[in-house]
Amino acid sequence: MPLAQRHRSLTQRVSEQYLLFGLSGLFCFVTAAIYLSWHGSFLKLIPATVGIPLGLLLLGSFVLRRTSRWHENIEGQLNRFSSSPNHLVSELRPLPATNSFAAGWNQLLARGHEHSAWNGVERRLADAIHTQQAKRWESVFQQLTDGIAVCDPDGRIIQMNRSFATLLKRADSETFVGMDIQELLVEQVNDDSQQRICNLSSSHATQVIEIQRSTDPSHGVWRLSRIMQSGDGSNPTESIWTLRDVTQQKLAEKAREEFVFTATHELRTPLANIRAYSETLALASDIPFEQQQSFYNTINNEATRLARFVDELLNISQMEAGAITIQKHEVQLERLLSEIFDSQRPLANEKKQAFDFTVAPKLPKVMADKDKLAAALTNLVSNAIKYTPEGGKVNVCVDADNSRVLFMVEDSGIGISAEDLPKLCEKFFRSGDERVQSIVGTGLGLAFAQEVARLHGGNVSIRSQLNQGSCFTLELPNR
Amino acid sequence: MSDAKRVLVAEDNIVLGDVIRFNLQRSGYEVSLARNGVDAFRMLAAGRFDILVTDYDMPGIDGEELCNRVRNDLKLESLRIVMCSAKGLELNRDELKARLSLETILYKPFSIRELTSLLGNLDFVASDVAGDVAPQLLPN
Repeated sequence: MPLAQRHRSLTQRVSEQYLLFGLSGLFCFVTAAIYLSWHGSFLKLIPATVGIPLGLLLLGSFVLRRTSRWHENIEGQLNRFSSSPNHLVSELRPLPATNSFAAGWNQLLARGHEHSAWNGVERRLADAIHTQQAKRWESVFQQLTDGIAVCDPDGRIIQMNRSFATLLKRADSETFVGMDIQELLVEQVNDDSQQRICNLSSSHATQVIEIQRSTDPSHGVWRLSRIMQSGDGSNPTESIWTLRDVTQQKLAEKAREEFVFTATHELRTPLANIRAYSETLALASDIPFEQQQSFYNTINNEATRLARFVDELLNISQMEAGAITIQKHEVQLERLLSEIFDSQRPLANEKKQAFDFTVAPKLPKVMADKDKLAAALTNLVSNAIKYTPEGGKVNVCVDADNSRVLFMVEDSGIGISAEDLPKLCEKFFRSGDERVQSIVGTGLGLAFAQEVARLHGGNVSIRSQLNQGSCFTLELPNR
Repeated sequence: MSDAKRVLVAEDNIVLGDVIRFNLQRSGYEVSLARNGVDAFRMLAAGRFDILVTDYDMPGIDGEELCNRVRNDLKLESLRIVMCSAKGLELNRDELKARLSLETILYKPFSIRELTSLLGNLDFVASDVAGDVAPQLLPN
């Protein structure tokens, strides 16, 4: 270590210099004292005897101060540094000297300043990142479609996102802060749901309940869940409440349920007839021949009805999946129409209705999906028969011009109210009219007819007057 | 007066009503047919029946309402009632049976043989016989 060898330690230097000046002062004093005592002038020249060594000592202490000046400076700075609250490196000052000792201190300071500068940058960066992350989480929290509220252990709202407030029909989520969440929710729901909210146990487990705004689910059904958050693993501190609007889901479930009920009812009715008649025929051997024939016919009719319903179900499932496809071929309209006419006539006869078919003398050949078109037209005709009372009139008229073919099904039936008319082609829609409700149906026949017409580039239009009758027109483009 | 039990069949499904009547007549019952709940109620109020076979779904007054009126308005407590229904799980079978004192609820498609043997097995005590029942309250 050449540096350590070249620079002797402070103690060494101080003691060497102090000793040097001290010894030379003492030597001068002793020498002067002996010399002056020899000449007998010691007393006369005593000021000089004392003055010279004193001067030497003063000079020595001056040199000593110079030697230890920078050390004192550093010691003072370090004392201030250790007693300051922040221990900031920036409070330390460099030494205005050029010796290697000062250079070492200054380099150390520079390094320290550099380090603290980097620390500052790092801290500012971390702050910025943290703020940005917090902002991002805040924005996620606000934009979630589910309502979320965080509550303190007493159930008072600490924070709530916009969706929660929107579900509660308020624009501003801030207004709810501090309110009791259970009280707030109870105000919004029906009696049954109020009870369910109040019954939420104090257990730590996550609880999920369904609550309804009123007895009618279309006014709003919510799924409410409460998650207890364990603060430090011992006592629950905060609770997180989520609120999801499941109205559409509920309504769809209800529609599906109703459809299944209607469908099973529709399946059971012809099956009941088939079973009853076939059992009767099997059990009794002495039934007159004509009666047997009529029983067989009934079974046949019911089987046809069942088959038609199964077809309808298949069409519906295709329609539900958006998978109805049509395959257009040239269709002989006259033949198609007479088939429909023949299949529907017995139903009209059963109800003693005047059933009339008018077909224009020369119909053009159309490109259509024969089965789908037949099913759609059958739906229109059988609807007319179904919703026209006994003894009424059902009139089917087919006409064409250069650009289109019109299938008009007119009846003197119960008609459709202006209120129901726009919803008539919606899937599953059935009028609330008691006369309609008393007739079995799925509410899908018209929706299917409309879909088939649309796929052919045509449409179904409806004119109707309540209690007077209706006219359904299926229009197909000619080619 | 014959000993034949009188049955009222209330069924809006015409073909099913017909075949039930056909079979019950062959089993020796005196059968009347009503096409809807309103007619059935009127016939029950006017005539005397031992058994009512009714559909659940009917226009106007449905089977449940019909039985309700039979039990509460007409006070026909001894009338034996069999209900048929094309509904399944929607009906609360046990509750309905107990509340309206039904013999049973048959789900369509039911067996005609099952229906006739069910009616055949009904026990009628002397006072239950239609002819002996005291005149009932008729609606206005």
